[in-house]
Amino acid sequence: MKRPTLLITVVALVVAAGAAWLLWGGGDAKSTTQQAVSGPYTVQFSADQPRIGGNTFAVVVTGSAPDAVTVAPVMAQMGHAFPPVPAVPDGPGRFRATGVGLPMAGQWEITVSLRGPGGPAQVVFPVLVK
Amino acid sequence: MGSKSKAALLMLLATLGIVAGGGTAHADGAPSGADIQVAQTLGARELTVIIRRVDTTPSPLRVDVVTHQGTPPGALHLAVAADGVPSSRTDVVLGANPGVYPGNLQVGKPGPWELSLSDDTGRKATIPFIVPARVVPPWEKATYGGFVAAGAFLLIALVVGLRARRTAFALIPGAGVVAAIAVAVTGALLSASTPPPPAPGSQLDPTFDNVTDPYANAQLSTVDYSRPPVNLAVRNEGNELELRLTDGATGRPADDLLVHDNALVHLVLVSPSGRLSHLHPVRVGPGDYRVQLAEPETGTYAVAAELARRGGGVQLARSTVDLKGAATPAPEPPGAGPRTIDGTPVELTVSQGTPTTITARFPAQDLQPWLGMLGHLIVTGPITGPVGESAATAPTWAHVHAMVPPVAGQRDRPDETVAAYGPDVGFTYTFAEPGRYRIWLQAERGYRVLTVPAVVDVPATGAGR
Repeated sequence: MKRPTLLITVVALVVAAGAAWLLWGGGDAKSTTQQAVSGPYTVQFSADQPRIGGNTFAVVVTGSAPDAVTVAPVMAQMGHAFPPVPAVPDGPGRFRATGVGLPMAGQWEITVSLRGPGGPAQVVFPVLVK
Repeated sequence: MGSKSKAALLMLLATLGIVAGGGTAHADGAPSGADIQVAQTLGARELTVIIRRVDTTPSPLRVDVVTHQGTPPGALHLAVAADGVPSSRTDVVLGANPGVYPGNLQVGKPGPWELSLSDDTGRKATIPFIVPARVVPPWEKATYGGFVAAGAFLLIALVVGLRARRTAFALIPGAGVVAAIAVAVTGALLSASTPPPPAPGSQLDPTFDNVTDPYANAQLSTVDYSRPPVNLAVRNEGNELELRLTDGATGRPADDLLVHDNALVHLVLVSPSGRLSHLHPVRVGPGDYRVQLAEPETGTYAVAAELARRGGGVQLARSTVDLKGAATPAPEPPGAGPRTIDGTPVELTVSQGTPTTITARFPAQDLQPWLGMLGHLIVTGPITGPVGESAATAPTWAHVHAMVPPVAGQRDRPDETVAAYGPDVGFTYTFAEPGRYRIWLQAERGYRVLTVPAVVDVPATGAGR
């Protein structure tokens, strides 16, 4: 009875490999970073799995160091803007905004406003809440 | 040859067949993507920029710049940028003859890109566009994967059936065949009813992630992707018009315009005496569009901007602008009948009724599509008093199209290099109320956009209505 065991193992392995291949790529929601350039600033924006409720956004600014950074969410399809949330410094050129409320699913646009010696600048990053 | 080596050969051939026969499967049977045609009024030049389709990345990107009669020769600097960082540049030298001037750039990855054009003297125009990714939908994965697995199980079943101590053991991989075929057939049957995921660009803000993997957002519950209307503010600065487009609900710059009828913004100006300009302002920043004007007349111009925002829906924003200039006023144009426009004889026929049919006959079947259409007709009225001021407040402002005759099975529309249409350009329009209307009919011939102005009197009663 050695052979059927081996056979069952092979079939099970092939089925498992097939299922893994089918599901591969769809399951892992990754933290994604977007980048935009405005004036002297190069801004990198990352949102950790954006979701309904409070969100944390990380902003990394290179090129010129800003004094103050705010993030302001807008629900693009509803035409509803929310007041800006200040992002607190989190290391050189790094800022972090916590508890940014995104109350519904859909297309959000996050306006990152920078103030500093390099002048004021605004860049917009799309964020999709599922 | 023994049975062992025969079986091994069979196995090898079958495996080779599975590996070699797979190939690349295209969703909907064809690679995604199409040419993007964008009209741009850059400085004194009226250009059509054609961004040719890209199927795979990294890939060369061909950009054709179409010039028109009277476009001054010179060099145009082109660059593409992703993430705000320019990655590829080229110069296109425009000659004195109107025609197509190609440029070659390079794109590295699928996602949102920006093409910039500049001629050193004026503004730098930027055109956002999307390099599509080759996407395999999940049902296709299931179907192809299922059939491949079924083939593999079938081979195992054959080998087991031939070589195992008990033939019944072949039932185990046999069950695998059945399961795999069930997966494949389910995938294939569901393919017809599986809705496509929301499209990055036209429905969602494009990002590198959602262009590469649009099915990650397939479960989004949004049904209406439309956005608020725009507010239009027009300002004149030294014969350069500045158009500020802001979101009607939040006041933020509206930076999500789609290429609609081959332009981001169709700006139509009507001068105080009734001269029409159909221009395509260039995007210089978020919600900031600029256009250079030729010497204007003094007085109030009617301004109308036609555009489409992400999420769908074309909108018309109307306004006025006061200009000062030395251009002489144009005389009132005639009604129907023959006339000569820029050296081209045109016969205009107006057959009154509900609806009214307006037809222009050009000398030959050599018209070119402009903005993807055979002809454009701007109608405004009823007009009383100075045309510019009156057109700005007139109840009717229409932009009527005459389509290029469609060719079955051809997805890409012909560009301006195809001079094979006409000689008749016909429009059908229903006038809402009686009165004196101004109409301007536009068609392209020999790389020159001809504008035929006319007056149409719509009777209150009688045979005409």
